Amino acid sequence: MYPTPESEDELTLRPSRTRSGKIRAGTRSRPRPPVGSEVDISISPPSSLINPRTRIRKNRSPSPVPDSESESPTPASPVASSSRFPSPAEYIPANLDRVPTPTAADVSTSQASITPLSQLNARKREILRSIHIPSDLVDEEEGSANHLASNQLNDILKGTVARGEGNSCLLIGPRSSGKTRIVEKCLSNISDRLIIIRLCGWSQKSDRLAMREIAYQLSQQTGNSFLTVADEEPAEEQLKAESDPFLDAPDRMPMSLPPATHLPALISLLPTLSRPTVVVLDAFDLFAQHPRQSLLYCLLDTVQSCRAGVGSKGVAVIGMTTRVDTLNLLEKRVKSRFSGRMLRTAAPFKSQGWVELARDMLCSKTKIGRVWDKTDDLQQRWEASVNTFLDDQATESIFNETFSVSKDVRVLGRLITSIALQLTQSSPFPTPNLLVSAAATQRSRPRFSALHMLPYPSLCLLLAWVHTEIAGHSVFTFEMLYEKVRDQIRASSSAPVEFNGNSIGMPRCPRPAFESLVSARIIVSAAAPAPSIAKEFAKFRAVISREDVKKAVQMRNDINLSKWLTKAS
Amino acid sequence: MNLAHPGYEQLLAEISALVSAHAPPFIYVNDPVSPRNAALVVNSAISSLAQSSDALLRINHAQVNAVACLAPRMLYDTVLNQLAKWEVKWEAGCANWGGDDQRWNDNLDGFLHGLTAVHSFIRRADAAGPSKGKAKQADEDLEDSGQLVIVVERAERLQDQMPDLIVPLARLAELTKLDLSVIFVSDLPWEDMRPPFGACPDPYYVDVLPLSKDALLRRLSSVFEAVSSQSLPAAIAGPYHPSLLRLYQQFLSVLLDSCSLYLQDPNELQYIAAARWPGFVQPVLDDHNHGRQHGDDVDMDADDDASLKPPTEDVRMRLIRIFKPSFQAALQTLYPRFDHAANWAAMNYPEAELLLKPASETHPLPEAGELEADEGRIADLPRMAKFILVAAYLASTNPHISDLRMFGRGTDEKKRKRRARKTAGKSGTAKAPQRVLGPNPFPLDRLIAILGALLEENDVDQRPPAPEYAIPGEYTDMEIARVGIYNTIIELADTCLLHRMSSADKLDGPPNFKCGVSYATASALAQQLDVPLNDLLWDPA
Repeated sequence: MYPTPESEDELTLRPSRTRSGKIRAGTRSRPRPPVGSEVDISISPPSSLINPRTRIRKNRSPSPVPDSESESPTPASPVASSSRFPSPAEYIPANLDRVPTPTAADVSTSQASITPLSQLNARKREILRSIHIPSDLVDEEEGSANHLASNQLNDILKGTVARGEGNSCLLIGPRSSGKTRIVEKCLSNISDRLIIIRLCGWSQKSDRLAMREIAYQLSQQTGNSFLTVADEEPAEEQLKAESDPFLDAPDRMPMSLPPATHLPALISLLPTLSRPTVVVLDAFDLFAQHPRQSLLYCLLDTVQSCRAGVGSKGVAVIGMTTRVDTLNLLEKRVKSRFSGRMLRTAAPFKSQGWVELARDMLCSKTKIGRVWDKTDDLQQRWEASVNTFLDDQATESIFNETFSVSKDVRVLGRLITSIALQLTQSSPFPTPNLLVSAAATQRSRPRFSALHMLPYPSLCLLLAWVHTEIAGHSVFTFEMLYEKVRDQIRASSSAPVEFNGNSIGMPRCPRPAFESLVSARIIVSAAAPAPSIAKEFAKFRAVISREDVKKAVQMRNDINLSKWLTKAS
Repeated sequence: MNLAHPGYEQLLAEISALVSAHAPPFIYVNDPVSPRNAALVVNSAISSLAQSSDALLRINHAQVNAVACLAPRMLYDTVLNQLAKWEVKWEAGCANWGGDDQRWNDNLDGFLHGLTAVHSFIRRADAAGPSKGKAKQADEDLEDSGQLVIVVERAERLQDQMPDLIVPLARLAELTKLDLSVIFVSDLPWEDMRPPFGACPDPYYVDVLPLSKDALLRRLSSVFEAVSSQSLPAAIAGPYHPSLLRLYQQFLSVLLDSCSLYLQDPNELQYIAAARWPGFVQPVLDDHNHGRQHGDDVDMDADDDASLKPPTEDVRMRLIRIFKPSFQAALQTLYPRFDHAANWAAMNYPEAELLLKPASETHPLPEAGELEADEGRIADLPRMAKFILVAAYLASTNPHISDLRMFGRGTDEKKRKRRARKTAGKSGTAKAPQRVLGPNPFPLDRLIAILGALLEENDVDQRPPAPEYAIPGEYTDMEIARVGIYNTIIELADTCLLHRMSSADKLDGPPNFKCGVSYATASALAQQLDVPLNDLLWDPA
């Protein structure tokens, strides 16, 4: 009875179209015809994150697709593997460092001049593309938290699909630990066609919006508008027709949304649909903050009352959250309807995984076997340089540092992106120096890093603030600072010496500098602004600390300012 | 492309590389100095990539300004229309993209659906457009192309106007499951905008550093080249004549020396340069025209090739010496926009035929004095109003318990005792002087009393003789009881030289006021009235 739009379902069942949305790019693209004549770098599907079935097929095929880094036929790999576990003796790493270095030097000197720009750009493109495809290298390990969660979720979904059960579970894990990835992978494992409803607490801010969205997604996936008179044409016929692509745009979604008052009834309708339904709730904790939690109540109530084997199809509710206390947020009536199954995910706990990930990203591993085995030594040189780079002590320490601060893989992605962008024709290979500068901008950025680049008057005001604060006034007005600056300028310019046509004293300090500090949020208003208080007497307090100013003055290297600062301490 | 944005080559290269490769889903460009330029550079980089013929690049670009899009619906519509390259036409009823039966701007969900629809629309348009015969081939190609890039300028405004939208915009790629990239351009660092609880993924950071002096020079002189190339034919000697480029660069160099310490925004510097340059070059032009007039008499042929020549080194040095002080003046007037450029340029025009005078007679243009914003308002106040303002300043600044000591005149003529100068506090913090903390409110009675004391001390001599007042002080009492005083106070309050603190419809008790003039103004007034203001202040400067 329901016209089932195949194309729509195909789209939703596509594996792992998660996070960045770029996976689709990776999974579906074929190797491109090369750009220009010399470019032989092209994009091919990564082995990871494809349907497992396809992966198995690929592994059996004779082509040497390296699925894990152990098989990588890189020339420097023995060196790499040995230096990864450096012995306590000092000479070994030093020795090992020396071994690959000449290679890299050779490479950079011989190749730098002849690497064409287009090739370099293609390389960058490829690296950035591969960064968007999260590798599942880490949670493939047996016994890891993600592996376990993945198995459990598979079982739950199987129960829903095969036996028509109503299931609910909650995935809890820190950011970018693979929650969405696991869910998408498990959903793609299911061979039956499902109705998948995806909600996100960030976009569906209220229950009413969420229910409208459910109705929309249902009508998109079943082609039927619910609870209203459905009389529209099935949408996919026109999609297939494709005679005039411009004509079907308005015809595609004439689904009328059901009125908001009828929407709660919609949820109880889920088990009666012709296919099993999976509701994925991203940012589950935000749904728990909606008034009365009525959406969660309806969903979980439906799930609980879903009886297997009475002709209805199963419903599964999968929540994802980073908050560990989400269960406590639920009201009692909601909590009692929740199954209590909580699956935990975790980020990789060894930094070694990161180095391998970085190698994958930089080398865009997946196609070496297919495209590069017969080609020139350019790729070999690239890999050699990547190995040299990854085996470097400095690289290793930065990776370790980063890993100990944040286990977020996206941070690694940003670092590699920054490295890739810094590659130039004259230095086309990654070096630890590039990583250092990448880490400075992309990782745990200092809050006030650019204070020393402020205009001179602003810095003067900040110094005056240091003096004011030492005098015990943490809340200040513009006049307080300005008076200090003015006095200091007067004092410093009393020496009648001129250099290069300018007095050696401090230059004068116009007032707009203060407003620029306010708009940069270096100082913030301490009291609500009132119309009766003149601007120069409004009270402010500083966000920065004295240390920040001190550092800024040191970096600025201005004698007048440093002298004035030393007076403060 | 690099020529279009001198000084911003690095940003241009970085954005081009990011977008042409495969932009991360969320990029944050932070330019604390001039976000406008950064946004210009980002947009022109992306749009030139979007128009390039590279088959691998299929970028669809939308740029929105968070100042202009002050409501979510405007933001949604702008983005969708631009992505679909749909022009809103007045004749067509200003319909948005998507037709009548479909609205994408209802709420965020509608916007997300709209993005999906736009994406498939673009894909189909691309497939149908260039290669109809090889539709199959094109389809395969298109599978992974067509990144959508959405640039949000002045993104810090989102915080005030649409705080709910920051998180969805930052996660847009994830929410729509499309290949898109959102770029925020702002003058605030992301740390100040980041919503709490880790709601947003961290962006890829792109920082724009303030331009160096060299880059500023290149940027500003490129403006000169642009103007001179499109301005009048070379025969007419205008301020933007091509042969003056060298002089302009030296002018800029001196200008930057004296201004770049205070100011880093190239647009503001350009504003100052544009205001000062015509005046600066006018003597050279005068000289040229003068020479021409005289040359006409002598020899017509020699004159024809005597188009405008760059001035000699001597002239250059002389000009710079004359004009250098006025650069600072321009900065102090034009940067806070106390005046606009045309007006300022007209007021600071050099005298005619400056270069014909001997060097000893030309003087540097005056440097700017301290500008006092109140000056215009207090210039033509009546004498009594000035007394009232000084009294109000005293009342606002002195603590009220000090009044008797400051103004009281007992029979024994006890000398006024001011509080002992504050010694370095042994414990606790020294109190900041009221002068810098801002005025305190005071009741009208106190103002009248202080006014009386002031008048008695400083005004008695100038009054017309009135023998009917025998008792000392009686005349002053008479004066301060006049209706004119109260009238003046109300007038001053209306012009905001006094601030009325209590509501106007309050009946009980005297009304409260606060002084609205600064210390500088008050002391200028006191000087005019011969009042020793510093002696009367409890805590003088």
